[in-house]
Amino acid sequence: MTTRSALAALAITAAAISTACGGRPIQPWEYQPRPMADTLAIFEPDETQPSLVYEQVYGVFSGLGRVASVNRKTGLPPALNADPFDEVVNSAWFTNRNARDPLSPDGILRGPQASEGPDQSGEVTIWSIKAEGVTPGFWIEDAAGVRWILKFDPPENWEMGSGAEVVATNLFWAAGYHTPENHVYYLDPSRLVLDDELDAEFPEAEGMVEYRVGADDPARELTMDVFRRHILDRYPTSSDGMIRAMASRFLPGAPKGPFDYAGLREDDPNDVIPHEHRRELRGLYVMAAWLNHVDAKKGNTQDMFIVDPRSPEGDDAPAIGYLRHHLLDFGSALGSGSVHPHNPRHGSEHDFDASAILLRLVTFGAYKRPWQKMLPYPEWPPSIGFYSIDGFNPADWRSNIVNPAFINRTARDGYWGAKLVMSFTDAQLDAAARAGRYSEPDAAAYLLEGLKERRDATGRYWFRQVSSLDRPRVEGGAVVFDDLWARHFGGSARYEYALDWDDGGIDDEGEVTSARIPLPAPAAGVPTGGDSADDHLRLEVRKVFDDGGRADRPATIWLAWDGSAYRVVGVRY
Amino acid sequence: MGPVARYTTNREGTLRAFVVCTILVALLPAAVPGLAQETPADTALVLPDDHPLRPQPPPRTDLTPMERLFGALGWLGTRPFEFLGTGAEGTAIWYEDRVGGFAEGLSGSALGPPPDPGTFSIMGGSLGTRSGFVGGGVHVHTPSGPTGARAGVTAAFTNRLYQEYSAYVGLNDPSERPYAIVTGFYDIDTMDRFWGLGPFSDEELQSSFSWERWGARAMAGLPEEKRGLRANVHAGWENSIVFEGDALDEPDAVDVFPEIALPSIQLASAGAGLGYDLRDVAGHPTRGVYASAAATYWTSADDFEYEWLHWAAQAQVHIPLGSDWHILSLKASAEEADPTGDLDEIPFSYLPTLGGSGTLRGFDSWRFRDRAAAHATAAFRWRIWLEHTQNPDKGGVLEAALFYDTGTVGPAIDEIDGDQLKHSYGLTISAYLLDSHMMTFGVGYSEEAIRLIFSTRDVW
Repeated sequence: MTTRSALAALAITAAAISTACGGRPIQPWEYQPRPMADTLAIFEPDETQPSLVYEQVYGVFSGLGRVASVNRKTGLPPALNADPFDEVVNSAWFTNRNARDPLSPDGILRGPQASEGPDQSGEVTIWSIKAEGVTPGFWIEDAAGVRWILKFDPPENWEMGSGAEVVATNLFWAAGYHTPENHVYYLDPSRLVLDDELDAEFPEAEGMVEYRVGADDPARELTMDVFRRHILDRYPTSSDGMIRAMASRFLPGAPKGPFDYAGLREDDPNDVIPHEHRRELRGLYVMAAWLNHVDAKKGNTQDMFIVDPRSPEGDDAPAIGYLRHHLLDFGSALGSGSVHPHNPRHGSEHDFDASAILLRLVTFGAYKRPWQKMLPYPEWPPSIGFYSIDGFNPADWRSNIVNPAFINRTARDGYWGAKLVMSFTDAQLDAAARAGRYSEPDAAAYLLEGLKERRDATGRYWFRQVSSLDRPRVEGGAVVFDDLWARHFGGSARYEYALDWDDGGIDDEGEVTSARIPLPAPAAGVPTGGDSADDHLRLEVRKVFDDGGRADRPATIWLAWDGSAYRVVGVRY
Repeated sequence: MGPVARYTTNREGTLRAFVVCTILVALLPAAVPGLAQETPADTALVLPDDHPLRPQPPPRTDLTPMERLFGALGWLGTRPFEFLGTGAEGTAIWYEDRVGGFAEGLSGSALGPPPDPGTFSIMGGSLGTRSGFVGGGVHVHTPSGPTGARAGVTAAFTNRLYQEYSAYVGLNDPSERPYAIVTGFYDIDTMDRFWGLGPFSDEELQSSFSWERWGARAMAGLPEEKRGLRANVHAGWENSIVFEGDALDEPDAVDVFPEIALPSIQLASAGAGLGYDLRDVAGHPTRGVYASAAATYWTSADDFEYEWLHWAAQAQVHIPLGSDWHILSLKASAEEADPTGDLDEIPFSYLPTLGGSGTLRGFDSWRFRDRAAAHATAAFRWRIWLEHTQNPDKGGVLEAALFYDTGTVGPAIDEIDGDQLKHSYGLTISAYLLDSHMMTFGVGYSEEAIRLIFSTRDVW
């Protein structure tokens, strides 16, 4: 080997090592909260448009990349915005709700709803119509001047889309995500009027035909009769003449396009954490799996610019404010596929699943995804679609297209997401199911059973990946914590622990049978404070299950000594 | 006497092979258990047609995601798989399938009528084929639904001067309705190849030639994508010239085999085809049988005295191995060109061939050529992807296949010698959209080569 080639090899090796070792995780005591609260005032950015084709292609290559990823073999980098206690702070992405301060069942039933739905005490004006495609809908301005989007269920699966959208919305919102205000809504067609400037294209035998309010050609004039014939007559009406719909209130602020599940938004100075490394988006995988939100993709998100009240006035003055990031469109969650019911394939395999394809290829088709083992499919209530524990694997659930944040999830992210899921009690889930306003009690019961069983399966998986010891704190000279596994699934309290602090003269290990680990005082003269690992007591606690198994990872708790007592300064799962 | 004329007529052999194939066609469905098509269990909760909740669906609501993608790319309704390729795999394949007189013509499939009148599509070039590494073309036609008059033009060319042009007028969509089509065409393939005739043609004598043809054809038939009986009749006239090839790295065939050079000749043809299709899906069948036979009579339309009968027959069977995801497929085919006049010669370029992406896939295209050819394929096919749609019958499929091809050529069908069989093995991956084959790529191995396979024609 020549000197030049040796140097080149050395440089390449150094670069590879540098890349592999880059991005050292922030230690708990190094936490800087400033970048996490991302609502500092920025200038108003331009609206971006989603490229669904790009997202599909990106998803395929992400899937291929996942198969070949060295990172997935050697350990994914941790989420970059976890706080000292492996949680996330409230931000433009997420607001801690049910897992931190449990909502009442009524609060779950109401979800993000700030009103009773569109006000139809007076005229309801249709100002835009989407007649193409398989989900016709229209936009209205209600009697109070509030704007809404109305979507309708497929008549063969009446109540399915609207019910799923509202149930899922309420649960995602209660978990902490920003969502629109969605209602199951019964529209009174007699209140509808057409906006003076409304036009629309409707599919007819000769193709798409344009109609317009006040058109010169009477045959092309958009009237309520035309509207009724093309839109409303598709749907069944209740005995009092009402039509069920899903009403979604326009989000507050100015729309600025969807957010990516990877990378940064360059025109948002607040956006400093690559999205694929955001805990809320990685952990969203667990919520999405639980609720079978298979359409969790860029196209179903929305950034809204919230104008700061201090923003300068005047048309030419640049507005200031911040971007709030929302999840949208849960019509393809639970058992609903918006226009068709979900079947067991949904959530079981990506639309184009590179890893499944490769495995089927090399095994001559012996490799099967769960949905293949469920053929012929079981039956399901038409108003719900397939939503069941059958075939559900909380660790191997798959969205329709590969989501870059989801495939970066680690056990810690999964545990965080599972805490959101497990925070919902049976009573809360019952309230959530009632928000769907299903007319068939059996259908609502089927949904509720699916919610509970998939929730528990989620907890049973993720709470074994780490030691699910929540809220560690110092009480009476000992570390105490809440054992989430024991809380939800019972069993005895048994933990292995190891204490380590070289400078404090502490090196101990043992096993306890209660959620309490006594802490010895450090050696006299140990300095207080400090910002290195040598200045902290490190406690590793590993959950031991009744079956003799141990959690895959211990909870590592860091404690600082202030001269008279310990305090917990951080935890990593 | 050159290689084109060194064999004698063998009408008895022709007749015998035709009878054998016909009997095979008749007996296969009864002989192979489980081939009758089964209706998939209807597990979806579907309202009856007269249910009050059933809406009048808006147009084209059954588009699959792949259809939407191709629709967005402007390909929907044309043939998104009209890539340029080797030999007849180009633009005019759709028409040549119907007028070539070969049994394969009966199995040609199309995506159906485009939704909107007036369609313009741009075709991509195929990579790495002899016909050209880059190329393009246009396909403009004016369909009007399943019934009614239609017309279109196509044009395609590559960097290797492979060119195809055609124009047609027709009545009805051939895939769905009884149809009639008249096509005018001009093709020139500058990269065709010849090794000599017979199963022992010398690999070292590989040479290239150009084949230029133009003419017109008329064809009428029964719908070609319906299960059950298919039939067509056709007639045509064409001018054909063979001259030097364009390959720089191999000798001209007319130098190696001076006797094959042809001046401009004019040929008239007429024929008929008959087929019976009991496969569940024509493009990627999972069960069922298909058999066909066709014959075309060719005669000189000028002072030459060529006159011959070309016939071809094939039978295929597809057996599910436990489910639709694993299939055993078998196919056997035979064809022969047999002089019927006083002149015991046939222009060599009209002789049956083996090799390439459809037969003996481990050998080069057109590797073996003679007056008769017999070929058989066995394939273990397994799905590696099924497009997720509500109606599984409407989804696209990716399918892998381990195949074994065998076959040979000979001076007559009853002189095919089993000891002279050529063998090839390989792995392919095929993509299907709806019922139609899009493309196949893979690798084939034979005693002569390891060959990359790329084809826009399916072997089934």
